[in-house]
Amino acid sequence: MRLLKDRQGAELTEVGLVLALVVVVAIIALRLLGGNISDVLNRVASAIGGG
Amino acid sequence: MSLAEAAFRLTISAWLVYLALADIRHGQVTNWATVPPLLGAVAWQTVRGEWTAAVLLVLGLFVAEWPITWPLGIAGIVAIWPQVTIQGMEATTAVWIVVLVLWLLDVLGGADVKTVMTLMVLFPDPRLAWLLLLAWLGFSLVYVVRRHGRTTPRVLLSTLGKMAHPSRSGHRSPALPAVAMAGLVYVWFYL
Repeated sequence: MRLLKDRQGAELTEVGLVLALVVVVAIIALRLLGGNISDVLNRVASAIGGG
Repeated sequence: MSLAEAAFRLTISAWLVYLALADIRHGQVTNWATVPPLLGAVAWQTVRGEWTAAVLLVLGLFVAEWPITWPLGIAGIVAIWPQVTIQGMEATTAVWIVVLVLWLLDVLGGADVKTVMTLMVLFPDPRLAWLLLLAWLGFSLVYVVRRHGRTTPRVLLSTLGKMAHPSRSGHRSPALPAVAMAGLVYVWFYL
């Protein structure tokens, strides 16, 4: 199990900061657009389950 | 606050401080400090009836081991999503996906990922997810500004364009203290 064995700690980097900013912008955009991911996933799950 | 609550918060705090110090000193954390807490937290949620945590862990470890199977992981999450929402594990799922992807991209280390996963399964609260994100942003921003000063905006734009690490600064900037800080704030002010 690679993940369980990996002991390394990450370092703060410019890439990490940029990715965090991208995540923040994406979350704000999703909220502004009113996207309801939970509803979509529920509908997909229902469709797969034949419900 | 009862004695049991205080003991619980102190235990979590001591664990987080230990992880942060180990990362600062050695750049890595022994698996004894990260794996048992993760497995224990998942087992605890499972015993409480929140079994989706265990399924998510199995899916996560499977995809971590064989990244090419990620569509299977997504399909598994979609299949159990109704139960995830019923059990209130949406924030946990979202954060686990993000940290796993970042680990696969080599942005996060295994110690960070397991610590975040443990915190999010112990406290499946969106506010903790926000705290983790804000702590990461804050610590990273301080590090980048200290390193680049006034050229920070230009460096970030350049990083965004290439998505590559600028040259190493020569001194370490461990990330686990940011995770620990978020956990400590949550445990003492939001729990």
